[in-house]
Amino acid sequence: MSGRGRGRGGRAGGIQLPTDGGGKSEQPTPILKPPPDFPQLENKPVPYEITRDMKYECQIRKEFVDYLVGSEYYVKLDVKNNDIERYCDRNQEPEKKWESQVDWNWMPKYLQDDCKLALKRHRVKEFKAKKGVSFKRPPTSKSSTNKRTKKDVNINDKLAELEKQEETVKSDEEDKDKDEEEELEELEEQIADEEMDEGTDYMNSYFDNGENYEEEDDNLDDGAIF
Amino acid sequence: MSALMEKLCRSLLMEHFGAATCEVGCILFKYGPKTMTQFANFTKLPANKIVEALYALIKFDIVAHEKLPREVLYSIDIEKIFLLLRHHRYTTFVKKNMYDEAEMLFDVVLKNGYDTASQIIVKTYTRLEQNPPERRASIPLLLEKFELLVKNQFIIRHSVNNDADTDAYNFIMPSLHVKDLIQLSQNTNVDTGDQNIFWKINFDRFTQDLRNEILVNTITKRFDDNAGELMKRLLILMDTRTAAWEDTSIPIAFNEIKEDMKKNFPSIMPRLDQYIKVLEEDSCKFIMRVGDSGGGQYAVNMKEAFHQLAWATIENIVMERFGSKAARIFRLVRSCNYIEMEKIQQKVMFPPKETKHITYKLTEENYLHYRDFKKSGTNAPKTFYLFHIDLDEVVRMTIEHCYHAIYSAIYRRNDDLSKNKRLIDKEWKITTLVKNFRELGATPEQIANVEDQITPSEKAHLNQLSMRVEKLSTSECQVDDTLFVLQMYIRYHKSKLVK
Repeated sequence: MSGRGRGRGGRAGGIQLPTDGGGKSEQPTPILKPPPDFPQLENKPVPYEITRDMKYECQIRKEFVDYLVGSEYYVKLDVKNNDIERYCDRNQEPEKKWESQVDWNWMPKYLQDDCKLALKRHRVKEFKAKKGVSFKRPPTSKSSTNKRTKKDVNINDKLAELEKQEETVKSDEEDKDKDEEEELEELEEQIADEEMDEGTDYMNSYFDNGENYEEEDDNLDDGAIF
Repeated sequence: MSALMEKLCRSLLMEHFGAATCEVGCILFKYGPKTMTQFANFTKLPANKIVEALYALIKFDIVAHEKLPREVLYSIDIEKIFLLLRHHRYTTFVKKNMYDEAEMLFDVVLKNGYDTASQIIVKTYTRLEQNPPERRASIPLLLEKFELLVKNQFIIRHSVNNDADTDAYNFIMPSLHVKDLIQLSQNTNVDTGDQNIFWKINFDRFTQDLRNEILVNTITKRFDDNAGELMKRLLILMDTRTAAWEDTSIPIAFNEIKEDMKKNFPSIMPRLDQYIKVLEEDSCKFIMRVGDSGGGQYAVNMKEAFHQLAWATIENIVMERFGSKAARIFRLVRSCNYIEMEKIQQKVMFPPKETKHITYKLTEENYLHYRDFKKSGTNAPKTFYLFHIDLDEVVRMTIEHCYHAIYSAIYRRNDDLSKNKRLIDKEWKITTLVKNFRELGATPEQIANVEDQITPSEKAHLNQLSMRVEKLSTSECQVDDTLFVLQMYIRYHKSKLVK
């Protein structure tokens, strides 16, 4: 009789874990801390022998990872500590430029365009941030003639700066000039297009307030029609 | 996606492609597909880093791209990240089946994501040129090996525009001329005519091959080498006529098996029918008899095979984690489907208190599940608790454990390496110094002088470290084996789960 009573009492609210079936159901002690990071193992894992094949596989894996770490596919974050100039930094070889290593040919055209556009945007932004030059037009310059001239000045400004920044080779400067100009114009157009169509806030620069871009883009768009 | 899976993805991306790529990958799998402009909302990474990261991920086929009217949408495939864990197995598989030159070619494809055939061959050639003469290979040989790789479907054409995904299209070689390739290897610009045909690794094929390998190994271990070979031939017969991921093969007549064996494996002939009978009647249920015509029709039952393998794996895990008594209870619950506590106690023949304790322990760890049935209507309403095992759930839980284990192993390995970086660098410096000294013809004393810069205690420490790192890396592979079996189970039983 008493056995039955105990059983019913113990199970009234579902199974209580863990009960050893001895005596009254015990109230579980409240858990006040998270489980330990390295819980004690009840059974030790089975040891296994490291065979030659396994060693070989590990070696291949390591080689693969090492290769990737040294390749253009490994993208580190730029962490620069400008406060301290370290001796070891001076002796280090300058890292190879990523763009000189990569080959775009395998990408389909639209992908290339997308990536290159982003890179160009980045270049313009970085350059602006560096020089602290704002290319925004004064908000009063609404007349079209004004815009036109302004734009030319701007692009030339940019080109000159960009050239300095990239330390381009002097020899075919003129070609470069033209290329660069075309590129930039195309770039500005594209950015402007996008801005109008999708209204993204991508161009809200972290350094500038975003309104400047809107201004500029609108103007440029007009400018391109001429 | 669970938190652990995410952690593992992160650490894999970090290890292989660096911090910036890791961040870009994380954004993609956390927040779904993104366009280039949308990335700026999620990260403070500069745009050039994002492009670099995407470049790497696309090249290795981890990120897919889709053209929208104005922009490009990028999305990530998490499965592909986990494949990074298995790259070394693919290489050894190719080596085992196709010798060194093919392995080198394969390695080049593996390390470059996709590339054109001519580039792959030339890159391999220049790499082999650094070897001693007896281990070099000529371009015609490499071209032949490349064709063989394609024929074996280890590498597949990468369809840039995702059109024409037919099998025939995927494995057509462009016509390449040895002369052009030789010129290309001498750094002259030649049009080899395959500028737009890219090749990548056919991961699906390798998954199938690893799957087959597991079945063959199981049979070999369970019976003997002959049975293993028979299983191998059966799987090859299956591959020729059945779509790759079918649950069961199309029936194969006994006569066909006999003929195939006569050709490829004659020594088994006298006892072929016995072997087949043993395989068919065994509890592992890899093959089943589906008809009597033609001397008996047999089919390979993949779905059932992985069902059995998953059970065996889980049983082993229970055995090693909770002891043999727990394994006994686990097997009992499995064989009875649904069983009451009292019945368990009667059947396992352990002391009742201990049985109860173990059962509850298993329930607590989610290896056993219970369901309650209320019996009402009589004077004393009673509740029955029936214990059972939900294999799908247990498998999914174990997969999580595998992720956890691999993540921990990687973490621990990196931790060990970074803590001892100074020492490892020192060792590396000294070994290069010694090497240089040897080349310059220094005296043994000088060399010994340099070598003495590492103290014996440091040497012992380094030894210990390298052993620990090796153990961690091999255990990663071992866990991955388990993971693979369980993932195959899920793959074959997903359709059931969806229903």
